[in-house]
Amino acid sequence: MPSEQQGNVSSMPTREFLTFVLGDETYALDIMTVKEIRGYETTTKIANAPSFIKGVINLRGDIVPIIDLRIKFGIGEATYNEWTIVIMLNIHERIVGIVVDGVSDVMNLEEDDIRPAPEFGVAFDSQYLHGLAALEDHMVIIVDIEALISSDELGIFETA
Amino acid sequence: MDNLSQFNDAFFEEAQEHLETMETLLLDYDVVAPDIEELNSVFRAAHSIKGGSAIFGFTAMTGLTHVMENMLDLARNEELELTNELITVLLETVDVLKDILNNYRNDEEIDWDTVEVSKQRLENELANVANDLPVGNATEAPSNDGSNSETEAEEGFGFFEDTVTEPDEDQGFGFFDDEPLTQLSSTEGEEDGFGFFDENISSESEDDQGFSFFDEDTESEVSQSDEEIEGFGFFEQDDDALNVDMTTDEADQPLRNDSAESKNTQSSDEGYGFFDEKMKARQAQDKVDDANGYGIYSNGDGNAQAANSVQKPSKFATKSKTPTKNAPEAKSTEATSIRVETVKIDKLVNLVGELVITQSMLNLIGQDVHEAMAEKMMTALAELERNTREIQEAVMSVRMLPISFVFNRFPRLVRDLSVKMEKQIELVIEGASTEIDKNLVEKISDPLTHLIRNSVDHGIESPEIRAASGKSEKGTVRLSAVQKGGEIVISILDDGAGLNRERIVAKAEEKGIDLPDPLTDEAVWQLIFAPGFSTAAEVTDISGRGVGMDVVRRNIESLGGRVEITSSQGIGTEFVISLPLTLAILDGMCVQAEEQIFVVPLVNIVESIQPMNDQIRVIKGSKILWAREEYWPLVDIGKRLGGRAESINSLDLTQSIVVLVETAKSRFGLVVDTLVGQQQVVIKSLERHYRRVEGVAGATIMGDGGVALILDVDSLTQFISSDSGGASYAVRAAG
Repeated sequence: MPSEQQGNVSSMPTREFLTFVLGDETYALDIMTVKEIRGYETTTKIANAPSFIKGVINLRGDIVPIIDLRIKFGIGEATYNEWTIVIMLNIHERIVGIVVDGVSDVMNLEEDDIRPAPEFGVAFDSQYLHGLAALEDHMVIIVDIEALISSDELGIFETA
Repeated sequence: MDNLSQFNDAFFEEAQEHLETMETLLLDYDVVAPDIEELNSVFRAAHSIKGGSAIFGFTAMTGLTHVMENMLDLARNEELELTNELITVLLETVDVLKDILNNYRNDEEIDWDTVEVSKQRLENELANVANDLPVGNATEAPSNDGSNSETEAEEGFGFFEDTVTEPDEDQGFGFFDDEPLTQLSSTEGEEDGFGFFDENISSESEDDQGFSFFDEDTESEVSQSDEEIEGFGFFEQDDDALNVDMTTDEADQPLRNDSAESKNTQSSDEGYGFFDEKMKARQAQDKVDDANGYGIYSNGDGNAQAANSVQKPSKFATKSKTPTKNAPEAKSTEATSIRVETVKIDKLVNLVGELVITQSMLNLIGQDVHEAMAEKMMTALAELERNTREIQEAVMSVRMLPISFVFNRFPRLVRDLSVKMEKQIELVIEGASTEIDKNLVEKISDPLTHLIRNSVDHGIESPEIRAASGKSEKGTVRLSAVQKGGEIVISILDDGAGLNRERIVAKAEEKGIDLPDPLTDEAVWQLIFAPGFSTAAEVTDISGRGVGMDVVRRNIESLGGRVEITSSQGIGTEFVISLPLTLAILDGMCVQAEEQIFVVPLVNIVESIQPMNDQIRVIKGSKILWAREEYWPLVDIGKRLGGRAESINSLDLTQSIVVLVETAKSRFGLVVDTLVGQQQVVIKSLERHYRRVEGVAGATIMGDGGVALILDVDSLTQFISSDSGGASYAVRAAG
């Protein structure tokens, strides 16, 4: 299957997605939103913030919030060890880090490869999903990360 | 001249400044005893705008300033008396010009009707007062100044002229005319001075005339004759050129459009060249590099004298000029200042912030250094700390501006308002040179405007009422700024009616605003900051809608400042705004609670104590502290911000540290685990990537690279009543 996808010569524009792991599931997000990937480090806790907001860290002089989607969506177990990864995202000119269990690959997808997301069966609300794609023998859930991060549900950004 | 557009911003800024100068001077203008020098300054400002706007094709401004200039010129020559009415007309013209400037700046449509109306108005005034004076646009005013008598005529007003009809002379109309270029280059090649700062221009060339602006190259051809070279620098601040040449030059003003047709080609050339990038590029490419950056703001001395015809190549034109008069003050300030984009300064400030962090990082490491080296290390670190602090102060001072930048707009505001409201009001400004962070300058302006409007509208009574209550008919609004420690204190004091306690309370009840208890005067005055509050009997277009005051307070608090009011019925009201000097760096005490470091701003701290058992009292099941002869309610940082579950009521307070703090509103104690130490911290925004957090003013980066939160003591007061039983202690006036 991947050979099919990547080997195709097509006129369709392809987009690159970064795949990452939360619990047992593989997700993907638009790589253009990724600023960098780094290991998890201790955060400074923010008072009265919801539990999925781990706190803030110093990213070269910027104070950046770190959120744990595993806690927010109840996927897998929120453990923090030397393999825990934080993906730094650049969304609407703000930087946000998301904690994931691992980062696996970069995949090229055409719009045709992306199938509509199911209404249920995924931890994320479908409004934050872009669709599903097949990778080798399993499904990749493509997250509309911009919509998710800037959503009122997460409440990371103050609604102006 | 597409490449002129890159100078548009410079023009906008300069024009803005000129307009502000005009406004200030016009406001200060004493109708009874006019100061001609001031008028000259106004005139020069108008003139510079006119010249500049013409070059850049901002014709709406050109036309209007032109008429304005005519009027000012007459006034300056004492042929016209400026009355208060005329001043008002001129001020209004300045307003129109400001609008036009903004329109151009924002690429908006010009409101030509307004421009025409305004122009017409000026012309009417002119016609009224000066029927017999030659103001017309086409009359050539004869020069009656001996020194200028033969100079006349050949004025290259490059920018007004599309075609220059003087092929016989090598007239370089620096701007829009390419023809002379060709000529020049054929004769003199690279050396011909159309450039701006062309150093060595055409001294050797007999015919080529440099029309450059600020340079002396014009002198080269002066050698042929005795004429004046007049430089009409665009940004020119040069009084020489204007004063000396005034007579001819100003007389010629109306003639600009025709000037190129005038005869006498031999004579004086007035260089109206501006930034001729193009020329530079073509002709003096090798020299422009160094000169480039200075040109725009340098002083042109158009008055280069005929005598020194041969110029040595000098880097900057101004250096070799030989002014005939003492240089005006403007010159010296200009030579010693440069314009820098604020972005660059902000970057510098950020870098210094990083430096402060690195320095505290080193301090941390220094403590672990082996003994043999420790002493040396400590000395070096102390040195570094001092240097860092000095650099930081120096960099901060770059960003400091005198508060007059804000204050200067208020005389006009008060003048307009008092005319409109038929009140007599004098605005007294004190401490206008007090310096304040540039970012604050921009943000404090709106709140101040509101407060001054308020004082004028609600505070000062009408002359009749004032007279009836035995006050002088003229009310006074006193605006002052002073630096006190790390704060700027701005006061707006009026000698008006004072706040009306009963009316405020009644109004608050009517609006359903919760009344504080006890209802002290201070508490009552604070009510006027409630949203939607206004006691003005009728809503005027000046104020009274009640949208202002809550915005005022919110704006000021968002800057880390506070507003206090004192008022006495019949005597007056004073608003006192306290603001931090800068928004970037803060002296703080680092404290630890629940394994996390928090920074308490030093300005808020009264004292830190480890409470003894007998100091702890329990009221309604909550602990409060007896210290300094009063009871202090407590806020538990560990619980509030550190995430500890149990409250202080179940903890042994004698094992904790209580930091006594005070704000404008209240005094209370912060319960923390330990004190870590005093340190300068760089304030970083939490909101930049996250959001505002209650009780937290921002974050900072500590020496170890970790993040610490900076406490917002003011907003911590909200936790008082729940942490500490004594609700009645919650709002306790400081002192």
